[in-house]
Amino acid sequence: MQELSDPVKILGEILRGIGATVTVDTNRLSRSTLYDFDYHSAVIACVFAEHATTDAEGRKSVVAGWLKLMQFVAVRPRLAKQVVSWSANRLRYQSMLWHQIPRGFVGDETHDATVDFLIASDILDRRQDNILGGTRFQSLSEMYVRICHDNLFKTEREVIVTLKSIRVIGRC
Amino acid sequence: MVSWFESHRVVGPLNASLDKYKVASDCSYVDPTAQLTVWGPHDLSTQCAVDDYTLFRVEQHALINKVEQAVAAGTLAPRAVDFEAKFDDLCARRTDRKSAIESLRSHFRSSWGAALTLDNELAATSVRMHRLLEEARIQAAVSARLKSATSLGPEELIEKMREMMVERFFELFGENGLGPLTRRVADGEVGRLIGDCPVEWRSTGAGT
Repeated sequence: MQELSDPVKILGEILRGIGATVTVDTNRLSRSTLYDFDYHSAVIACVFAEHATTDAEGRKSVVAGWLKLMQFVAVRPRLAKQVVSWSANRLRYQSMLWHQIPRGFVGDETHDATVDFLIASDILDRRQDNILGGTRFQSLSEMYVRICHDNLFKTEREVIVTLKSIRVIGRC
Repeated sequence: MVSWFESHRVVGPLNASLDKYKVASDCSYVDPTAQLTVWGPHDLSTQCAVDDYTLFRVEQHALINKVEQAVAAGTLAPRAVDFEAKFDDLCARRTDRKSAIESLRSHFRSSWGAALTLDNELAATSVRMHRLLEEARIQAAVSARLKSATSLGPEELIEKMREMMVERFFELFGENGLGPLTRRVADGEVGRLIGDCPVEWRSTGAGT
């Protein structure tokens, strides 16, 4: 195949040569689910179902930073392996393994906004470093049941289960 | 200067060089008592705002390496039915340019693969940059949509889309941030818009 000096220009020339009309349908733009509230809510429901502990008052609870890291990795499954590797050795070789932490999760504002909204809706609650089930937590539990029933977000759920091998030490 | 590693491998030679240059210098513009100031990680974390964006800027070269590796390895975007159909349509309509069209197909598919690599790396390391890139892609398509209503021909329209992506890459990564990869990844974004359907040149009704 020939080398292309300027492929965009050549494509344009060919299109002009056949008298083609180029249209751009912005309705067909595919937007990333990474910034979708419903998607993040669903992943948070899955994390709570698999990782939440029950406190003295019987409320489901997950360490906030840990929840943020897990949902971040769950929607980016290729990161799971290195996170498990990092956690297995983080106490002994913390300074050598820092590059394995998917630090992009710190700036994941979509998750923060989703949690804030769920807290404002009384579905979740916040206490110090923990995110707890709120008075309307049932809606998140029901969402998880529906996700499992319809076999949705299979990859994300598999990653979340994989991350169970990591021992949480208060905060991440 | 910040030394994170518990080693004098970097700091030692710098101190030795400073002493050597001070001896050789007339010290017209440097105080003879000047010393290097070395910050440790605690100084860095308390005196600077170290967020994912800062780390991204520090590690931009690693990102570029990964995209370069993807290009060198011929990483391709997943096969997209519409992408193939659009180039098949061109081949059928310009049989005399089939070889050039196949080269275009190959170029846009591999460039799209490079753009996806950049996308994945940003999604993992700097969500903010990833989001800005996504917005840039949408803006390029919306701008092209508006321009398509004018008398612009297909050449100018596709060229404008690419130029807009190049401009946004300059804004996000700096003028020389991605170096020669800038144009390749911008072509990849055009390839993505062809493959993801917004850009259409087939007869009415195709691909819908």
